[in-house]
Amino acid sequence: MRIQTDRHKLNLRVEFFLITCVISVLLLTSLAPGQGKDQNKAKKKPTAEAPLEMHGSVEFGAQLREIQGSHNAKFQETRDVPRGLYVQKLKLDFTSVDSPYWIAIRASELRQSDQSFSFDAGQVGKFRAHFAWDQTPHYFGTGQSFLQLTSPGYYSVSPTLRAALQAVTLPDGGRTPVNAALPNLVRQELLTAPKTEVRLRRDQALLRESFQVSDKVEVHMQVSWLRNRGTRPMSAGTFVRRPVPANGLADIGGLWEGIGQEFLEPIDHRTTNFKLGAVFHGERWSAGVDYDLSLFRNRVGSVIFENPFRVTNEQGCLPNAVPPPALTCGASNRFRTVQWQTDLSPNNDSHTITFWAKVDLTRQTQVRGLFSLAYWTQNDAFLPWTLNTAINPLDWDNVSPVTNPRDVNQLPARSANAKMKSINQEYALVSRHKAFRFQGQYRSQSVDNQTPGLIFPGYAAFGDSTWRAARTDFYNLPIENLDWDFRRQNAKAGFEWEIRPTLTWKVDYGWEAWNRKFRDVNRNNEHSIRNRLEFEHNFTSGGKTGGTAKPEGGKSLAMLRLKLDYTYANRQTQGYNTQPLTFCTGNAVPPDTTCPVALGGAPASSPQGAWVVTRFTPFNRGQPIEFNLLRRYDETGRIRNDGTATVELIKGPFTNFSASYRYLGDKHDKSFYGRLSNRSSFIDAQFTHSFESGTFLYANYSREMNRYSYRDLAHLLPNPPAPPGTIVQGTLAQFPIANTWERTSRNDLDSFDFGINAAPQQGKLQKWEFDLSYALSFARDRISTLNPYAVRADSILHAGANPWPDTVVRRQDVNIAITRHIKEGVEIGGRYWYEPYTQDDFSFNVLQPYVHGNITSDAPKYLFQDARYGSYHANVATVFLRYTF
Amino acid sequence: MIKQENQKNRLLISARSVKLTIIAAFAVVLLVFVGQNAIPPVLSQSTSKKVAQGEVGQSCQKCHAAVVDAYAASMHGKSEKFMEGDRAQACETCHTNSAKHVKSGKKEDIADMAKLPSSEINSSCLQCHSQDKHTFAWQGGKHDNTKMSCLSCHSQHHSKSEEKMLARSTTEETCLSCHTSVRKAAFQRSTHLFRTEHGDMKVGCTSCHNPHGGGADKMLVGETINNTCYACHAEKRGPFLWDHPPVRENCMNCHAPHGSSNTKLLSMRASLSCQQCHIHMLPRHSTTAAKALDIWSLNRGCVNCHAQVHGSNHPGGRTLTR
Repeated sequence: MRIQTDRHKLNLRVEFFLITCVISVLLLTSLAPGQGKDQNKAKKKPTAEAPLEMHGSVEFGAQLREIQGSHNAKFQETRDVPRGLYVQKLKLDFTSVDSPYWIAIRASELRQSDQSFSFDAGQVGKFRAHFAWDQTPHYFGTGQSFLQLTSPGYYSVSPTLRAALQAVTLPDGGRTPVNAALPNLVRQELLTAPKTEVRLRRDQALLRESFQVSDKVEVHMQVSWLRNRGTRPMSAGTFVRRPVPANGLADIGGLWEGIGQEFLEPIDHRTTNFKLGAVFHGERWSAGVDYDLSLFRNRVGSVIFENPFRVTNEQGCLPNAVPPPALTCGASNRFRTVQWQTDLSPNNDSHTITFWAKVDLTRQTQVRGLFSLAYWTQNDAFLPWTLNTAINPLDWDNVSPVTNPRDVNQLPARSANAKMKSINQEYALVSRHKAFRFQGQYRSQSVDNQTPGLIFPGYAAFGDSTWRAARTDFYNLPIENLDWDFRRQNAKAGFEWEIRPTLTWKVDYGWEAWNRKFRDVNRNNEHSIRNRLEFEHNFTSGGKTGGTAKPEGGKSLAMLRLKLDYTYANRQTQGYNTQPLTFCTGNAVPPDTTCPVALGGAPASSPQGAWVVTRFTPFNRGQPIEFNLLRRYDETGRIRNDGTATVELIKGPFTNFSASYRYLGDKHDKSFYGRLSNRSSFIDAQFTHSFESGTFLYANYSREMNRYSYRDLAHLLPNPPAPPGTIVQGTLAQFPIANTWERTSRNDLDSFDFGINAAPQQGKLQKWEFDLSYALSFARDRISTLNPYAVRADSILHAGANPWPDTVVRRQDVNIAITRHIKEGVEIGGRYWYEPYTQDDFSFNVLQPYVHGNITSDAPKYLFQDARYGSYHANVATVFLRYTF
Repeated sequence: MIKQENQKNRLLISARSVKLTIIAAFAVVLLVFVGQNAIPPVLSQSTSKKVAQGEVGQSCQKCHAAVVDAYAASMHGKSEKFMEGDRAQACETCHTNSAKHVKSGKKEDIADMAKLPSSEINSSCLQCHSQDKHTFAWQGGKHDNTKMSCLSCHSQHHSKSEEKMLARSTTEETCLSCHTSVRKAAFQRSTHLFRTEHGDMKVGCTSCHNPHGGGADKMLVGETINNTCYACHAEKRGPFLWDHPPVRENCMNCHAPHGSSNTKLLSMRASLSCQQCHIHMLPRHSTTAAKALDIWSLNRGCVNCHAQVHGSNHPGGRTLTR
């Protein structure tokens, strides 16, 4: 694993420093009461300090739980719903009206995996201390696999099993029928493969202290520690290339069980944060400074797993020196390694210093500014390119200087020495003048990647059986890390005019610009204008009420609030960087030097041309290697329309109805590829009513509709593949326009919830309280794909539109609770909770540890964990007792 | 590369022009507004009042015993008893004109905070509470601009919450009463609103948002969206040898932070998210329309292979597969 003696020493020093700081502050604050007393004596009239009185409450009970469904982990995804006895809440307060001190202790879900505690103490106006401990589980279900974790970060598979599986693997040229020896053996062995609970638990401790040094100065510190431990599913999937010349037109079952693995990522993360700061303030100003240190440490920095199908390392099938290649090539080029290793999240450090200040220039005008400088660093040692002892890079590119890709000394550096500087700034001026308000604001976010550039001679391609180099796979562009930088700036200026006491108009102008380095767009500018109109009418008084959310007073009060909000934004780019592909018509005949590949074959009704990469295409270093007609939605031009209408009706102090509608639409240039449009609309309505008897009723409904559409294209790879040493031919890409496909996702979500709470104040039911609530969330995702043109016959598998089933997720939650007040401070109650969850998602429905034979696709070449969520029904019945003292 | 550098320099100059324009605009506005001291105070700490020191609500208690008793035990009540000067919060601090009310006993003779304009309510509270960093951007912030007052969320005398003197029982209930579009997130397929079976929030609104004026556009706790996310997901911070630029720029390019009908809080189904931006000249395989049961669409979609989609530190991780 990762060996970092020096780093550990540094960590120890940092931890020692943190502990010292914590102890110092604790000592400092422990003196505070004493200091406070002295000061009180000096400054104030004598006050008798009474001993603190204890108040509190505790709630505990017993619970029955029943969950139905084969993959029911979702029910306890981020919570623990135990069976049997439980303590839900404990609350203790030590305080007195005659004492400046207080202590508050809280605990919930005691002895459960989602338990939390907090401890607060302080002296009014002098110091505060807060300690919290919180646990949050994350449950994924039960996994099943040949892979067994034998040491941290190492998954092994029985050598006997591996030998047996390798022995029944067909030669490279053969397919693996559903009932061949290999899939049968895999299925048989999986029957007895161990099962594992897949879960994480996030523990967080936090200590925060603030100390009022004087009336004008406060210092504060915070130490938090976050630990995330357990396992979660992770993929190291691969797929095999389709055999030539079948090209995937029929069943493409496994040619070679160079299989993809879903394994359990071992998680042992720790993040330590330390913050120290001070606030200074005068009568008309305040300012502060904060220093933040954040250290992320991963105790399992990499994971190795053994390939269940190999006991001997082997190199992939080398391309023949002279085309055409043997048909065995390609499919068997993956996962011939015995061990596969991947890097997990590297350790990183972050240092941030923040300065802020604000000044009230006049009683109406405030100016403020914030400047924050952060450095993020990461310097974990690189792993070797591969653990496959059979790979010889020279065989693959004819020129590679790498003689041993297992040797980290042959890497261009032993670590990335990665560093980023991040600067955030915010400046604003706010001013009010009678019925007007002006506001101006400027923000800037700058990320400067200062990581040294490294050029790699190549690397072991995915599947660890082949070598990939710039000459053969990257159009002769260096394989280098690019220091992607960006700077985002935005400014806003707006005013508000209270035209009448009941009518306000607001208008804002916004500008936002992005500067990016090494991306598709070097700079874009967005200008926006936002208009808001707010109307408020009090039918009772004919005037305007105060600023509180709801009017108070007589029952006859009736009020209407209406808000209209519309934003128009136009984002424009200053150019779009693309690689200089060549457009070839269908008439080009090789060996035409301009269009060296035959591009005939598109159906007559379709466009015949294609954009192609030729042997002579002068690729631009530092620009994305992408199809030249693609426009990425986060960078390219866009027109946005965003409008909201809200109405709120308040009838008396007890009834409230509100409804709103929002439309957000993004339009992109439809003559390109990538996202074409995005339209979202949201409508919701809420109703609440309080009866004089104390009963409260609420109902909410919302519907969200999202429409995304994008245009894509399936490109071709020329056959035959390149012989060793041939520059770039192996990845010559061709983009026939006929292979265009478009996809639309229509995602709707309906949500409804209502509830009623009744606590009669009089009568026979005076001591009872009833709660009933129901919530429904119903989501449907409809995906449609179409081909605007007839696709090429050899591209049906990739480019052909296929129907996808709808995805439906429905979740309901029914809660019924009855509470009886037994006597002063004592309540007992019962609760019934029913939660049915339905999930119909084709992406997960068919998954099993091994699905070979169940579906005809690439999936048969994959071993899954099967730790996933499915439909369930959960019933929970509870009795509880609440005691308050 | 040189071309890009030059272009960047040109752009920097342009940005400088914009900043100069903004500074000039600020200066003009200052000239317009400075000196308007006759207008009632609406901003923060410059309006502090001196309040007579004494036992908590001695006069008030005669008629408002329950309220005064509860107030005396609260933090504000203690401040009156154990602190001096501006920081002592007596009844009179908020309910001005009390002397007249004590004599007349009439409601209209005393300031009722609930009936004051929001700017005046806020001004009163901000006398003390504007000094913290968390109220740094309150003035002109989203909540301030919608004329919300402190009493829109908080209640000194009728608080229903155990902490923070909220007018509603929990922070989430308080926020969702207005931010109704987020309410749905609690029951979505994937949600960030983790809560126990008893409804206690483990990750709530204030885990990420600062309602008193936070950073970025969404009143966040961090200065940016990503900085807010890194607080819990520090493993995504890197920097990595192979960064994924859209990830570095904005987590929300792919994720819907409150809740989603997809897995992993994704705005769109996994493979669809990727295909909007990738047609793939490299790596070798094409972006495919795919069948529903292809490995391209099953399980995690593209992430079945490109597992390190947030960034990789492996020498062979250029395509984020390891």
